[in-house]
Amino acid sequence: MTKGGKEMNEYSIIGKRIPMIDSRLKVTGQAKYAADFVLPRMLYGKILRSPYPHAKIISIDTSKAEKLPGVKAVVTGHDTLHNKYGFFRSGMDRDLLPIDKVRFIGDNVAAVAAIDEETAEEALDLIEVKYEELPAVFDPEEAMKEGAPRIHDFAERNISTERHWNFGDVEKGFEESDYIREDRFVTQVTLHGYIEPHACLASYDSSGKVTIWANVQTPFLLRRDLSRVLGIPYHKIRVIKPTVGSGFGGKILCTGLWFCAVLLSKKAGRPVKIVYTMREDISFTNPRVPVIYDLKTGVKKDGTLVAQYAKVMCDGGAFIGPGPLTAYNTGLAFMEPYRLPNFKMDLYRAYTNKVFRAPQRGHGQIQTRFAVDIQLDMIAEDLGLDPKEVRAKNALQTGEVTVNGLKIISSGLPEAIERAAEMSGWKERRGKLRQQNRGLGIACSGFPCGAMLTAQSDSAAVVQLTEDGGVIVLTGATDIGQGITTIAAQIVAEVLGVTMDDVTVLAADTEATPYDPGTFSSRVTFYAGNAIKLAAEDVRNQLAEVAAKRLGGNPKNIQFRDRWVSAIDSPGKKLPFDEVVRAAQRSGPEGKIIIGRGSFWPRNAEWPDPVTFAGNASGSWSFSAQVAEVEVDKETGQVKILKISMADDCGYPLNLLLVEGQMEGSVSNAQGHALYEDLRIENGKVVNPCFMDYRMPTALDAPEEHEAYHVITNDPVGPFGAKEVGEGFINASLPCIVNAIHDATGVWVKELPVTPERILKALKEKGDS
Amino acid sequence: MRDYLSRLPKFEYLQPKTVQEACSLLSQHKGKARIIAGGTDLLPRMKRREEVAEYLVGLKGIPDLDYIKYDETDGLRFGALATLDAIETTPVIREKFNPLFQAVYSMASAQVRIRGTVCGNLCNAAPSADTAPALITLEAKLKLVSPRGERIIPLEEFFTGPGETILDKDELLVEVQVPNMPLHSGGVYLKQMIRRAMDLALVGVAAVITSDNGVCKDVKIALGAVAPTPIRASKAEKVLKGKVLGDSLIKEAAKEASGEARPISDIRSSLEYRQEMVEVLTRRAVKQAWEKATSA
Repeated sequence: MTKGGKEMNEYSIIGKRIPMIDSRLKVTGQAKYAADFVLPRMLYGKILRSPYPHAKIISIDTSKAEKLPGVKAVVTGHDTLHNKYGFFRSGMDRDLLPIDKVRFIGDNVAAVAAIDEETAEEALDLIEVKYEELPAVFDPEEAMKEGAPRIHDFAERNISTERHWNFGDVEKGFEESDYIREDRFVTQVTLHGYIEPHACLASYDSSGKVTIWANVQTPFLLRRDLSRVLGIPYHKIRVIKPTVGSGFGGKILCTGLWFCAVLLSKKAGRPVKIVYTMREDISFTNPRVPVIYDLKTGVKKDGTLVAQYAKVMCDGGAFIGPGPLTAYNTGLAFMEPYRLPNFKMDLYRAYTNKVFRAPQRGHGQIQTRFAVDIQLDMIAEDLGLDPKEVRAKNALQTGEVTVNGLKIISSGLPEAIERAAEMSGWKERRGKLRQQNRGLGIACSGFPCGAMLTAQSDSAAVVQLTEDGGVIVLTGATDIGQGITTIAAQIVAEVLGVTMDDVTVLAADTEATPYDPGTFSSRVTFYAGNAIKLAAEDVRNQLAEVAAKRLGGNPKNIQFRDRWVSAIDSPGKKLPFDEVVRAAQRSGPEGKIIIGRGSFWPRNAEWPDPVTFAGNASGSWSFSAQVAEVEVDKETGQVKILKISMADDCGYPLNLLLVEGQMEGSVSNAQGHALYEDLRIENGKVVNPCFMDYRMPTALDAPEEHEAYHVITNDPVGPFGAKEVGEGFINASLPCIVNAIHDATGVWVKELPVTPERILKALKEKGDS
Repeated sequence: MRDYLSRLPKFEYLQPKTVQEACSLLSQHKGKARIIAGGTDLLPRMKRREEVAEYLVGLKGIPDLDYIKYDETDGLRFGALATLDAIETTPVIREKFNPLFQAVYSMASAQVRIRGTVCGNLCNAAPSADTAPALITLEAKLKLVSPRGERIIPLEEFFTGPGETILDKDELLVEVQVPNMPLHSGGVYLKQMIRRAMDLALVGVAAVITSDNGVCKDVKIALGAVAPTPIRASKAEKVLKGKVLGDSLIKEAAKEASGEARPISDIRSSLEYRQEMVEVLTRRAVKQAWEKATSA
């Protein structure tokens, strides 16, 4: 059920409930995913992985495997240029096929291409690798001690990232505080939980050109990485993104297969397909980084935040990956959605002999939101304050600049808090349902609409017209299921006054579509949406020139709506859209093929200062407030979510179906992280690498009721006023569930997931069971 | 590292036309052959190489194994190919053998229930098998056939350890026989899971009680996932038998049941939590079964 915000009727296509344009293909099975692609003479690849968490490679003998009938190529690190790989230029710490040592169970060692998967698997068994086991370290705090096993030669005390933020005067802040509280919070390793494992088909042809169909969130970054590792220039690498079965951040970093498939194809002279099994994907790719917070917070007695100090310890796994970005986001989540004048953070990310980490929905921030929003409720309880009022008091408002320089150009947070409270019956019910084992919990989120952290952050788009008045959009924006192709079609259809059916979107083919960094950091609608809008407006302006000549008046006053072109200056006169298109493109003195171009990055955003990390890293900031209502069985510890009241500020929702899909999806995602999901790694080995023992919520676990309210803030920079909703939202969903459990039971669980066992233990400690 | 194998290993599929033929195939390939009905446990294990079978003896070609029969005097009988889904959707089972319905209803996904069979669930002999505690409290018997003939044994005596049963290598479970519950009886199966569907039991408790003028004339309690095999909680039963059941007595029985459980700690749950849940679930199961029995 939805309650709208303000008037949502000013557009004909934007703001409506429009199903995704590829949904029919998906539900009929016609959509093609990476694993569906087939080429003549194609081989199947498999990767041999390290059985040890930390070991020297003494030798690799592939001769027996090579002799196995059906095996067409075997590659090891000796077939590579030994170019290190990493997400950032500053963090090149990984050999995709190491020859010196392995650093986690599952580190790639060799790869085989054969005529079928069985033969490739059989060949893996014939590769003889001699290892010399090294002492391993699995705990980040242990890893940072003197004398701990060194995982990378260059990394003293195994520190991969270290960040020291200092804004305002935290000591003075604590002195001025009326109340100070300190707690330790611990988060777990979680999976992205996509239903399609990593897959690709790569073909290296005799002209030296690579074509790869890969289920990647970042086709242009994959082109960059393949070029870097393999020494092939960008223009000879073509990355084609097929339909992707979601990613949530897990399909950004190279995990081995994309690179191995190309290498094998080059060696075998035949196309090579590699598809991970789900167990392989779960065990050896890239889950979320678990974090330990020692958090100290000082407040005034009315709950106004004065100062926070956080010591943050991240268990980074074997490689740095996106570490610096994760670290930035972890700090960022202290700076929004609440006003905090004094903040200090000492963050360490340590290398450990475990699977490395990737971004994941709510990247780096969800852990902080868990710590901060739970502790805020503890403080409210200690001081006898209403947690909702505490949030309202501290909520960032439009026009504010945070202590680290974030510029809040639109904030619907104060209203969102009120709306979420209203929908949940907060005033009458919160704190009053414990007798019925029920409770309400609130939390808020803020999030960048794409953080400025890569050198080339621009999104670009091209819009073309067909001879009969159809529209083709070329965009590098990567649809991984979130629906950017639908949003692209909506934006173009709105600008040109045509229907959704008139628009075709070609998305993410590095040889055909313009540059776009990809899907991460909740940047896509904000960046690519703006670029697409600019390209469509470019087309519209060119058409308006032509139409103005026929209809009369100023080209600026030409209107495009419902496939008609009309002139405000000449009332009653109009032309069909396709007639204007034909006229514009007809060969002659004034005719030309119309191509619209758009390129965008938010000029009001800036790269954070490399030392202080101050700076407005995003063109705008989104917000949400959510209230969960739960019921807890105090004998079994089982938690049932009865209702989620969700109020978002995504500026202006471009498609209500998609926005609410993101909101409800975030809630389920957060529910899993709050209550069930926990990737268990014992001595470096993932011990629950399947969805039987790594439990994500099912439809039967989902909240019995979702209620949504959209606060409309019409962001000045976002396309049609829109801001992000895909990532930030989850960051409030998680803590509001945990806070609701407290309201229902009176106990706090400060370690995720909040399992029935942990709830019962806390109840016992409180003497209430 | 062979963790990531996805393909089934090579095997030969044998398709007998009769139970006798199936037994003789098992006998002929002793130790190298496995029976396959739904395959929902066997095939994933084979993919993970936890099970190596050179021959799979398929039951689907045998015409007389896929049945569910009910008789007012003899009770319920169903064959080796009766699927979980068929059991779930047979009204008489839901009505008169409710613990079995509840057990099946709680299991896996619709897709798995359409393939998997109750007999497969029993022969797989997982300590957490849901149908076992339910059928034990319902006093089910099993008909086993081998080249030496057939025997009928109580289900309670069937399990010998995790994944182990008294079945001989050439023996086949062909039928489950469940007698009607006596008048004034009620039964339930309760299952503790981490999420609300598609999950294995951390603890499963079944209880069937017969009342006689407000007295507990007979009671059977069986526990799943808390010992190497499904077990009867006989001490708990003793506390209740012959008594008028009230809250404190039920509580005492539940405590006894918890003491009888011999759970382990594993990836799914700690020993302590399982032990505690046996108590909670036994209390709830007895109470619900008693309510049903006294209102029946």
